[in-house]
Amino acid sequence: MKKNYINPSLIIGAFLVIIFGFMLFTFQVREGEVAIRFSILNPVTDNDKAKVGPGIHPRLPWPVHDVHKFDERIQSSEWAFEETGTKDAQPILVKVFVTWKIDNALKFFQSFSGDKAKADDALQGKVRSAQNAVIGKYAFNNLVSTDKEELKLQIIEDEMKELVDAATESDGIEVIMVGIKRLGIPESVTGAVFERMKAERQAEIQKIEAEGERQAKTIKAEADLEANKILAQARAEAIQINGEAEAQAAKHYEVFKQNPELANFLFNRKALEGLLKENSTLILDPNTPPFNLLTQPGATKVAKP
Amino acid sequence: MEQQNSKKLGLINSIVLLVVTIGALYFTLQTSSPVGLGGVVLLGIGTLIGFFTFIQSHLIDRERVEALEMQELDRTRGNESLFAGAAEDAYPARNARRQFEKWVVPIFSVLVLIVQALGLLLVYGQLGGWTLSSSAQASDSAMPIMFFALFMVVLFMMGKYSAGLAKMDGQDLLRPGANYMLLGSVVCTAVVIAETASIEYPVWEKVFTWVVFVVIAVSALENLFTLVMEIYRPRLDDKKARLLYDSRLIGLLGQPGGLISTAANTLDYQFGFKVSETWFYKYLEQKLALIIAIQVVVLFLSSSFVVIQANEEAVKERFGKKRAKLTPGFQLKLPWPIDKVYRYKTGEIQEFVLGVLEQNDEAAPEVLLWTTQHNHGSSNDMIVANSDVLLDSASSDSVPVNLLTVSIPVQYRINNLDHWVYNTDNAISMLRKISMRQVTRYLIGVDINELMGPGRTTAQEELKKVIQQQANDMELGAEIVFVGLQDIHPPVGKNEQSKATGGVAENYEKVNVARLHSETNRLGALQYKAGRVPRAYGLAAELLAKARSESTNKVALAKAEAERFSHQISAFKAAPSVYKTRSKLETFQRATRGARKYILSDTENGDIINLELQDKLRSDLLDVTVDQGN
Repeated sequence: MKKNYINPSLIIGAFLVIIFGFMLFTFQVREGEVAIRFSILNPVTDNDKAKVGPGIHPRLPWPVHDVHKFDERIQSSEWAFEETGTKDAQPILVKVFVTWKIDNALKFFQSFSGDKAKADDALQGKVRSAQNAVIGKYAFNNLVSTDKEELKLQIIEDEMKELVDAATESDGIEVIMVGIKRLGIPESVTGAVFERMKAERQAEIQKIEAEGERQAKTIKAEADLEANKILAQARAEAIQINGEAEAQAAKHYEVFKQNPELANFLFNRKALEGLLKENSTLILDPNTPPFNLLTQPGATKVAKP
Repeated sequence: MEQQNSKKLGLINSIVLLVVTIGALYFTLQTSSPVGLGGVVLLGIGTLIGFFTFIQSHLIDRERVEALEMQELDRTRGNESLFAGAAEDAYPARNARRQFEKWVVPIFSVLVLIVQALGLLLVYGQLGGWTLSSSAQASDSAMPIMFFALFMVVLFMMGKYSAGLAKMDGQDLLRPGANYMLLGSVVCTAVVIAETASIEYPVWEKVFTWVVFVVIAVSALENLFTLVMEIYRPRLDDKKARLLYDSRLIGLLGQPGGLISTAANTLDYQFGFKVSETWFYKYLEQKLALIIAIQVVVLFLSSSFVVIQANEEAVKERFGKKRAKLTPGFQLKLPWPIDKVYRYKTGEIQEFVLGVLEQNDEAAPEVLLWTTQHNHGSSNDMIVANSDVLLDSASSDSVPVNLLTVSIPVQYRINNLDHWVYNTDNAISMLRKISMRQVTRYLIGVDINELMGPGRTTAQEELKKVIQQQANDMELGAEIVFVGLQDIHPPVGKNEQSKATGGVAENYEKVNVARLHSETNRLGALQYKAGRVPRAYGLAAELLAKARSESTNKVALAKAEAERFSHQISAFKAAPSVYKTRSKLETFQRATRGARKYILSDTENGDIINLELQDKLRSDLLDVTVDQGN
């Protein structure tokens, strides 16, 4: 019987040993990472010698070689929304963030044991200090204003960056940007701002309503004026027409000159007729014609009061 | 003699387990390794069981000595009826062992169950707060790794030896401790691998911890099941009871070779013939390792290709070094861990919202009003500049700002994968920060009324531009697709003082109401004007028409009267007095037809004759007739 020389258990075991050995004797550095390799045989103090770039690299197991890897990409840190005071003693809440990256891995390791959390903590104190120092130099309207000339936010950020740069010079990190992410006002002031905003709106309401009333009254007055003008003009024209009619009628009255006595009699008669309208009450003398007939002899009294 | 050696070995095993447990606990606390903690729990249980089996084996040993003594006594005294068939009281060691197995063993099993439950809680707590170990901790774990490797070797050697002895008759009390030692050795190996790999593959530690957690959980369930089943187990004198605390699972995991023989025995029992002696079974048993090896190779080779979806792009790294950008489709790569591929949805529009609060589980309201909180919180109000000169606020000492509730969706797309992946550690977070910074910068310099009104579109375009500019400056590799300002509005702003006057948002709405009232007033006036002027024109026209009519009438009458007068002159000339009298009386008759007339009959006495020549002046109530129909 032919003996099987390939032992699968041996293959699996060899496979595991290879993987384990691979992990023990090599290390990978990803693109965007940087590593530093220390050796007890040849200690290094120069970053360029200790630094290892992306790729696979050989190593000996600890403690001969000690490898530490760091993220070399730009990182960002931000902290609490913190209250601070402006030059004119106005309280303001500021939230600042910092973007930074490791520019000297060896120094970074020496400063923070390579721990990003420790670096964050150290950076926080420096940024807060810079933030309060710089904002305290500027007035509130340098932070918030519709006047672009007054706004100094960029200058404030630049000054904060300068201070943080100086404070982190020996930490192995490069600060890329210090940015003001948010501005706010304390809760106690917020209520007052709300009230002021409401007062503004109330004033706006009054203004709008008053303006509305003004316009309405103006329109009505103008309408009345125009209507009165129209009527007055019409009345004037009517009087003129009436006068013209009088003039034309007078031409016809020339004929009355032929017998003024009769004309006057007729005008009187007409006037009398016009005056004695319905419901008039006449108290007449019985001698008035034709009632004088009643008083002639032989006539009977018609009624007694 | 063998029993004596077995007892000693049991004691030595227990002491070794105790020392290893304490050592493992010490190094686990040093490295905060969750898998190490799981190992400590298992080793601790093993230690308890080790000491317990030592006590039990001591009792069995006493019973064995007692039995020998009784046999010797029987042999020296012959078959004297006095001692033949001695009473139970004559075997105190046997009774002690029986009482021990009856009462103490179940109680101990319950104790083991409690310890297992506590261990589970402990390990689960570690899993809950698990985080990736940082590289700074890697060098600190070197010493623990070495010690765990030492524990692994010691436990394996002693466990293997004890497990071998336990297979002999009467040595089965060694088995539980040996099983725990062998499993402890496996867990120590896992700790070594996890801690070594934590630099490169931190997720391994979590996987191993979960495995240990599951092992403890299943063995606890097995323990519970065994305890329950023990109540119903028939007690037969000739049937030797299995140790309650001896876990089959731990035995299988500690000695996986036993799994195959157990399975074979089960198959033989089920089928009624020796399945384990068939050619197929034997072939399978021979090639099992090869099959597993092939599986591993297949698994390994399956990491040699990747399928990139249509909306994705990927970067391929070879030993960590950037190698190529992969486009959608089927792509070949070298197997793990040589080539690694990181995929990103570059085609997909992604979104984050600035200023919005964490979404709660409550359903979103169907109507979003300024006057009610939705998605925002008062702490999210943002400062906006104030140029409202209405109240002359610039001259006062008050804070010259307004507050605005802001929720701005920013939609973006990855347009440069290299920049997106390799320039920042978290491009999304960075984009959020710079977007928020630009929003803040914009709002502090713009007037709220402008922003809420006609300036909204401008603001939207301006914000998109500046965020894109900042992203480009930082080489984030993102294209800003959309910046929305639809959810910017005054804060609700309700407090104790606002009960009467309403909140800020409510007052903004009231401004709108005032505008509507104002417009209504203006329109009312226009309505008045619209009626008043034409009506005046109408009156004017009426006046003029009347004037013209009267004029025409007057002229015509004058003309007619003139013509009549010409004729009347003739009549008058004919008989002037008669004409006058006749004319007067006719006129009197006609003119006074409707007049009430009183004639003083006697002018001196004042008698009056009332000639009722006309209708009554007015009607009174008695004259009113009622309609019959009513």
